[in-house]
Amino acid sequence: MIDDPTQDLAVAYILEELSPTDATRVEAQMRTDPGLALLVEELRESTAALALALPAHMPSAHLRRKVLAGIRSEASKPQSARIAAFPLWKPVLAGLAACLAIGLAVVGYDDQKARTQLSLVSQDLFALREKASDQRARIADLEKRDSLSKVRIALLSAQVAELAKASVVVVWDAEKQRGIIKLVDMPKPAPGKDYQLWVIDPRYSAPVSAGVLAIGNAASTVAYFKPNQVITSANTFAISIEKTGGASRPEGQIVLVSQ
Amino acid sequence: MSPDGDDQRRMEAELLSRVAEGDEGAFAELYDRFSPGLYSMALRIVGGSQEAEDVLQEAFHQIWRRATTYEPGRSSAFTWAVMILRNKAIDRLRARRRLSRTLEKAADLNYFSDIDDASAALPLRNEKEARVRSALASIPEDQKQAIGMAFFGGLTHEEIAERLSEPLGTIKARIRRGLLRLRDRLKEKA
Repeated sequence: MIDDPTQDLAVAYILEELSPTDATRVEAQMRTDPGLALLVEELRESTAALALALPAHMPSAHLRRKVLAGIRSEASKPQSARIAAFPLWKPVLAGLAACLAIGLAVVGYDDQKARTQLSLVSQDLFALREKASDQRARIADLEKRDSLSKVRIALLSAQVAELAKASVVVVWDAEKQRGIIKLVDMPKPAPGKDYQLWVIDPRYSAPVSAGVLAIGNAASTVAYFKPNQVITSANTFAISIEKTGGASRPEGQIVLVSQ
Repeated sequence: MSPDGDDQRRMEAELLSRVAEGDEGAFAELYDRFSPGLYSMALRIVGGSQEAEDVLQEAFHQIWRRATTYEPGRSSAFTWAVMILRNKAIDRLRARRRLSRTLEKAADLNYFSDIDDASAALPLRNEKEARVRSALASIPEDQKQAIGMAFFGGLTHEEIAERLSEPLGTIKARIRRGLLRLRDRLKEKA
């Protein structure tokens, strides 16, 4: 018989409410407690089944074409098991737009265009929520998409337990070929080591260096970066631990990766 | 689970394993099977059709990229996909809440109201849907409300307690009891 607190833990686990550390603890417990593992599986199945209770809606046919074209354009197979074997910890950061808002506000990011985009997003969300699905909202949505397409915002997830509490967000301006990164609760690297930021662009066979990140004593660090090559498509951002001063290619352990 | 359910689960797991090998045909088939359920859920969480389609697109992109991480022993393929989609949709919802606190205040607290009011009239996609709706109907309202706020609303137990002005322990118990009852009813009906 599983007691109530453990059942609560199982519920919190499937609802992804636990911190990465606590989630890892539950997973370890599941490996030695088949009863708990079964409970988690059953609760997860039951909860997911709620999707089937909803009134049926169909996405547009256009979306199907878009999704299939999207995977073809990647021109690659799904990620290998080796890469995927990293713990897929749920980011503990705030949402993408919130991070953009906070990041821009805190560091006084001087890009007026980004501020305008943020404002558009906010206004448009209001309109959608109020179900004002008129043409004006539609056009605003399209305009927002067009302008936002030049800015990429990425949350980085920890790949090692030591950085489970770290929160890292990157805002990348493709037009200006520069970005800003905010790191919160990042421990200092070991002596003789540096954190180095990388941009994965399918155009290049190797990750492109975006420089070494200096972590000070403050809980939060903000830095601008400019990759050393032109980035066409900033698919992924990653941070590795390298020797002091950085490396031309990643040689050390990748500790944070964007989703 | 019924033999039909087992067959379906096995077939969908096989599809996903073909997706993991880069089989675009299997991916298209999986899209056709899962997209109505996932889209309905995205719509329920984020509210707008355009944003729901964005979420669905992101989710399928992740399904394609992460298919190699799927473990058939841990969940069905559909459950795995639902959790991916929920994660994407809740991320957006939380970002939106931070952008506009006003939206939060206006948020609907009952995510199952339309199902409660008119479940008999809702068209069914398959027999499993009927089982889920019937199981859902057996859950007390306060438990159903808390589950909806947690699962579709992306609210933490603490946030739900605050919204409903109830002790945290009460909310935890409601969600726990509601989900256990849902599990039991689904087992009975399988």
